[in-house]
Amino acid sequence: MAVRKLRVEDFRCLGEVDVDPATGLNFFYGENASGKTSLLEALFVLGRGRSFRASRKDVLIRDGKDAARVIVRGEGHAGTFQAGLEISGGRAELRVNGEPASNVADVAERLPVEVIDPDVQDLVSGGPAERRRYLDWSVFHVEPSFLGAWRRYQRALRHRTALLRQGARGRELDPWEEEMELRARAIDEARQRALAGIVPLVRDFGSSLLDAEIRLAYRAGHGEDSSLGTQLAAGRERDAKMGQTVKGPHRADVHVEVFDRRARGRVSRGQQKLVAASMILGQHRYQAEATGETGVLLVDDVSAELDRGRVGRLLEALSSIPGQVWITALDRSDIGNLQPDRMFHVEQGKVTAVV
Amino acid sequence: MAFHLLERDRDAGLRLAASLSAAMEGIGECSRCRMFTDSEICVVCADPSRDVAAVCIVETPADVMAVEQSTPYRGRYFVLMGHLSPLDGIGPAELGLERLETILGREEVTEAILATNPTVEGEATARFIADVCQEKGVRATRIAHGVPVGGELEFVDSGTLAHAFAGRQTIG
Repeated sequence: MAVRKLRVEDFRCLGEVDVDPATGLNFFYGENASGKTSLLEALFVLGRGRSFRASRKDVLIRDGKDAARVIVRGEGHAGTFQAGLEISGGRAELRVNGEPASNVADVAERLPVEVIDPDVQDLVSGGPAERRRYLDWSVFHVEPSFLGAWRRYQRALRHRTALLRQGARGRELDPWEEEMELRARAIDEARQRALAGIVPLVRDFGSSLLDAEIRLAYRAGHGEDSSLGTQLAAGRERDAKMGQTVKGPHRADVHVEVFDRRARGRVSRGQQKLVAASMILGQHRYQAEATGETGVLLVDDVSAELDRGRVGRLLEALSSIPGQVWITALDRSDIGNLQPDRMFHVEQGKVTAVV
Repeated sequence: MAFHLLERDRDAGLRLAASLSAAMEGIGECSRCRMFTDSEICVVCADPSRDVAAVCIVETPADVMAVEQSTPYRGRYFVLMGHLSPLDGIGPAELGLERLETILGREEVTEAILATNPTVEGEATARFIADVCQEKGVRATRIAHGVPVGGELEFVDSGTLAHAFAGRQTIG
């Protein structure tokens, strides 16, 4: 899949911007606060339904304007599609091919996006939620039935928590815990299948980016000795006291281990960024191999936190991966010898193609 | 609809208003199965030719009509008027499960057909009632969910197809 046209209106510092990207490598350069990150963010918000740097949607609207819009024309194996997003007053409205879309999944399945930005190391150093999300997006793109299982699990989980809050401790909890166990099995299996596909690719990127072996392992969020249903039934008192369900795939994690022959122990921020970048690159390649459809890879401020040698390795990796890539940097010199297919200069919210 | 009746067919509008008004005032719940009825006991429960060994448990009165019109089923019903939903404060009491338990406890009842919807809440309700059936020594069966007859696989949503796949049967 590749974005053939991106139109952004009143998104953050961007006024009206039209971009015609190449299907391969696109490079955007410009000073800080010129709008490079906002451009990538606009595309990401459309594909994922949320920003990678803001939790509230209203901050995405340009000062003094009522609404922000992001419209994409994309081209994939299934043909061309149009997807749009309008944010106004904290509400987001999605459209696909001229029809209103009921949820993020309708756009996300057509527009897979991944991002490597200066905060990408949160994937390694942050909490398990980041890593669960990372894994679940891959599963979502590769196994369409995952979303249904996930929604049913979440629903049963909310019903169980509500019952515990209402004081229930007995058999009225059984049917909800059974549903959770049933869906948890599907969720765990799908995640493990995806991770098994991602692991060797991340290992390859890890060894080429930082000469280290990256190991990823799935932690299901519940014990393996007994069924989830049994564990839930045994934990009712504790969960009621805590006001939440502490076992289950909604508490899962991906364990990240880095074995570095030269520097055992603590991993520097620069190294963490490369570990996280390896994970994203591995995911990107896995989805491309498993579905035959590549996503769009967004790389914001490629040289941040990295010394010259490491930037070179990252750029080399980026030049070899399949599909459309959007890279931003402060200056043209930041990408060394890399030959982009199309280059853009971003200045005060305006984007100009450079020939 | 109101505009259409005002413009073209005021007589039909009045007849509709009269029957709606009669329905609102005269229709209550069957004291046995909770189906809509204008008498104490609904026509199905009152019909002596009905098979008393089977009870089909559904969420709404419309589901009774659907089963009546499309299946050869000749047993009785029990209408839950909803499904279990702790998030909405709906528990066994709201669904009249005490009355259902009494019915299941009668000697003549041998099978309960659980025809609740395949939603998370409908499934949980079916599981809950299946447990009650087990205690009462009544065989509980669940209606099959899957690919619509005459439908084409590629147009069936993935959840339904996964369900149908899990419930596949030996052929020949």
